[in-house]
Amino acid sequence: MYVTEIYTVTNPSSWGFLALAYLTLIAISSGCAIIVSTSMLLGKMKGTKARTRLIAVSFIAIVLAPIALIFELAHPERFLSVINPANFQPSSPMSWGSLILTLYGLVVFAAFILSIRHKTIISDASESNTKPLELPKPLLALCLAFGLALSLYPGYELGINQSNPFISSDIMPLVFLLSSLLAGAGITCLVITLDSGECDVEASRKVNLLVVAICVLIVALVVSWTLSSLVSGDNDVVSNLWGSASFTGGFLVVGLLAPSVIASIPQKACNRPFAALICALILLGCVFFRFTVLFVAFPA
Amino acid sequence: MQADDKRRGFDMPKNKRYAMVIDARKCVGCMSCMATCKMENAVPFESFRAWVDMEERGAFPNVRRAFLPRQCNHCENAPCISACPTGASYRSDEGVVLVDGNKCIGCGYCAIACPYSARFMNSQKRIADKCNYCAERSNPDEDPACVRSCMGKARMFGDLNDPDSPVHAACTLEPVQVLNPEFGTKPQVFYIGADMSE
Repeated sequence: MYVTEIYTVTNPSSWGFLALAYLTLIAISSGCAIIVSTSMLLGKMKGTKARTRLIAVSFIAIVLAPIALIFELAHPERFLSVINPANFQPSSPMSWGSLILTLYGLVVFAAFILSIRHKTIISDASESNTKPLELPKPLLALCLAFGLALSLYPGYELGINQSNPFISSDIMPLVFLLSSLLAGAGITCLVITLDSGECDVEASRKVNLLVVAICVLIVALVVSWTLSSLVSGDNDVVSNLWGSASFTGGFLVVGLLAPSVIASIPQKACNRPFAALICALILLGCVFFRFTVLFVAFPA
Repeated sequence: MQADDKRRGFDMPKNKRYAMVIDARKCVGCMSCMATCKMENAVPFESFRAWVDMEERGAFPNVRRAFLPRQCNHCENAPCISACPTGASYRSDEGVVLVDGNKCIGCGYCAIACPYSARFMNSQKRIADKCNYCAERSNPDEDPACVRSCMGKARMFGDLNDPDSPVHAACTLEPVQVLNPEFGTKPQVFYIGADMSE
């Protein structure tokens, strides 16, 4: 006996493009925050403007993200009941997500204010030598920790649905984290080349290398999941995923393969047009991955 | 909880355990349960609280159709309840999973969490919606609309703890199955004669 046709009813997806925008914005924000906080803790990327710009991008993205989230709700006026500590539901990943989002937002806001203050002080002192932006190490540590948590939590949040082996797989939080890091690395790639003075070639090369490394890691995770799913018999899920244009074309080719190929060309370090192209491709891939999860994998 | 139950028409003793048994051998695929559910509960056009999956199996001339009525399973270990960030989704003392419309923020996360795709966002009420065993019916002793309209008498509803209830008898006398027990959700909608090999 074999099934030739299946007729069923699918209720409309409960999440729309605002949810996609929210997931993309938190990826950009957390990715930039992780990279800038790690680089400052390790004493790398001493160019003040790059650090300040990354913090600014992180802050702007995290301001826009909750706006998209609030308007995604059917009852936006009840949003405060989610962030009200009295209503905290420990069993709900979304409750934890709202807590992480709030704490992360406060930390990034503090970092942004300090970076603006630093810029004002430098401008007032009329110093031509740009003193590197330094933030308190506890603040950087919090920024890093909450940035990692914000990158990881969508994978856990969506993984609550056990019916889809891709969504509920163990790699999902890791792919979300790496995708966020990649988004941050793509923006860093561009930001480094925006200085009107001399671009830090060494830093640019390292960021390009980071882009390639993250792309390779994500591909390795996806391939390993695919192989293990084929072995366990989830052929339908695998074929549905790999057959979708947003996953294969948008995420893997446009978002991972293309930017890693461009970034691996050594002569293209500190090349602004190529940095902009890498950044654009990576961000497109970031969108396509989340589009695939929300609108391709879930309805299946 | 008892005061809340009265407000919603569940003025019942606390030891009830409502469940539904669906005898798939008797389902003829008329889809009247889908239609009456939509009419009874004013379900928006694009959404369904109850529906029937239909499969065509085999190769000509040995082709047959199998029907599987579907709805919310009112799971004992419901992921939609643990997922809800405001506590709007809850399980009544009688084992019915309900949504408090005054607390629901319409985030849709419960619909994402449900592995049976039983929930949806009601575009008119702007809250999460699903089968609630027709909780708003004026006579709480009356069966849900889908049970009343089932022409094949495939659907049975009642109290599992009541020995005189049809669901108690069905679960006792027949081998019953649930959908995807591997999810660990402990569904409370039981199936008889359903081929779940696919």
